[in-house]
Amino acid sequence: MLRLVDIQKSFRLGTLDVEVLCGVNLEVAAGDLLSIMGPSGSGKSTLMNIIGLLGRPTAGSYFLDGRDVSSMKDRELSAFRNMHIGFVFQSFNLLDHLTALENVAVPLVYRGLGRGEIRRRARAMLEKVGMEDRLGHKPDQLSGGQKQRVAIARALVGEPAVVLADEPTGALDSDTAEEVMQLLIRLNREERNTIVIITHDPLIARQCTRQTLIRDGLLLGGLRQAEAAE
Amino acid sequence: MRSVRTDLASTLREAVRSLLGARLRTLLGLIGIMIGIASVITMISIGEIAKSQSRKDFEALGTDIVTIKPPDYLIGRPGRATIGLEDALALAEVLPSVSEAAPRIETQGSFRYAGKRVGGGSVQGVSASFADVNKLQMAEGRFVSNLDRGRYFAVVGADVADAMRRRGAGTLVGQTMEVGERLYTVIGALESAPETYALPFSVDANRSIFVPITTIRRTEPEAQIELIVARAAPGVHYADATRDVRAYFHERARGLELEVVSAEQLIEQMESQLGLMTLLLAAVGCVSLLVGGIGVMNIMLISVAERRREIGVRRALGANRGDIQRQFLIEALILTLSGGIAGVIVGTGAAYGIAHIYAWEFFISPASIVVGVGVSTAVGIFFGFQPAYQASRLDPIVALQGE
Repeated sequence: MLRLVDIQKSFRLGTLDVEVLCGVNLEVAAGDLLSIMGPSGSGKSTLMNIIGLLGRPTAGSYFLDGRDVSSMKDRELSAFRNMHIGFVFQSFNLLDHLTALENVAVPLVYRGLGRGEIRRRARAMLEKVGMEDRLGHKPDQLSGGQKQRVAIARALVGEPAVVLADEPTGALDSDTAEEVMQLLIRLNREERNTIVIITHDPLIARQCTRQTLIRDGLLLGGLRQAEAAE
Repeated sequence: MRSVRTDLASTLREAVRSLLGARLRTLLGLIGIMIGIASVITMISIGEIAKSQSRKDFEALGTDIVTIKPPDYLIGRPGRATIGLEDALALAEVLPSVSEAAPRIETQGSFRYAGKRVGGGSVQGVSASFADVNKLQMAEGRFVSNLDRGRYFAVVGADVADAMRRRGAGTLVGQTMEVGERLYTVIGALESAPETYALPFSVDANRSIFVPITTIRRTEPEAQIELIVARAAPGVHYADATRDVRAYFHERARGLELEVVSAEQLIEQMESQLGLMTLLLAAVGCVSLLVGGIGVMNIMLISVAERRREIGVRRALGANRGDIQRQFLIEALILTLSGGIAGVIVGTGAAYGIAHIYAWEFFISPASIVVGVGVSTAVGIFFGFQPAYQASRLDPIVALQGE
């Protein structure tokens, strides 16, 4: 469903080319709960941006939902991102002037759905993450854990092929972090959502069903065959 | 692909929400545009109102009016040829095409009654026909007559008359007043005359006193006739009357330069002058609009910079560049359009106030509203475009790193 083949990414720093990803291969199948673990500077953010269609690789191919996305133009890429990717950020990134319900609705608004359907789906999704009694609250009226639940609802509301969670518990205290983690695990198990968690924390990584490790621009354990061969 | 884009209503609602989110900034931007639009609207409205009012004033005075005066640049220049008093007084008798001619010598003075000041303004030396030609109405007594040659008689304007009555004068006729250093006997008082600021020559009767022109000739030998208001004889075309007047003075005073202008010409002149004035004022308004527009651009640029993270998030959630650009453009438009609407209201109010002060008949100029709304939209698009474009070109990854 999601396949990265020999993805390379380098940045120009002055006269120097810095290679951040040097041939990453990754396969994610529907229903995976996969962790990408690595220390800071290992290239995991860069990888996440490429998976999330926010950045383009310097070389390599990326197939998402059977299509090669590397040649897509902005308009198509944005639509594709809207349909297939859900983001959960470390710092939640909710829009401050919108209510919980409206925040969750944003991806559907960009999809051009009707108002009634948007509201219905956003409300249903907030119920699923246990936030049904906070629909009209603004982010500054919510606790950190609640914010992340809303953010998770926003990531899932469009039924994306994959949810990318970048340090989803990084800004939370340990109890709340555990709750959020349990929510992600439950959504994966019960709703068959495909989730990729980027983290530097082995305790988080351990709770995922598939684990990969990124170090010095290389990803270990990205291919399902390799896993099967073990 | 998405066929239906984000519906307009929700886009508008969101734009309003973000604008309300930064209330003070929004307000400041709005005020900038409002002032710009308001000044343009005021200028245009007042221009139109003044134009229609001056035409009305003229029509009230009669379109057979012909004014005769030295060109403005010559007034006060020593050694120039001047209009002779006898020539001016004989004008209507000599020329069949002129039915009446009212010369005026104007000086300034302060008026005192019973030792107290009762106003100050122009002392107008006039002949008997002046009241008629300028449609001045008597409230009491009589106007200056041609038999009053050299006598110290005064006819007081309505405001002066009121001031004297407040000082205890019951009947004004027969009272003595001081004009400068001299004593005058009041022979009459005028009804309040409508203000005619819109006319290129203003009699300003209410605040003036009128004395025999022969008297002022004696008291102020230096003062000259700077205006003759004449009427063409019935059925005479104004062009014939003006030609005759020119010939008349040419014959009698060598080197005398005069502007002889008929009402029709005056109206045209004045309208083109007012048009030019309106244009100039509108240009000033446009400058303030430009400043307002730059303010909006500044505000939108700040807004884009402050909301980089939001832009990043929206991009991540599926907004394409067009969506982001549209969002910021709509915000700029709402900002300028509401500023524009406020400006139309304030500008129309200001025009009403000014019209009220000058006692002009007020009307809402539809052109000004079209211009106000149109221009503020244009300003929004013009000055909102660059910030919106900048927002749309942000790299989502960089934008997500925020602040």
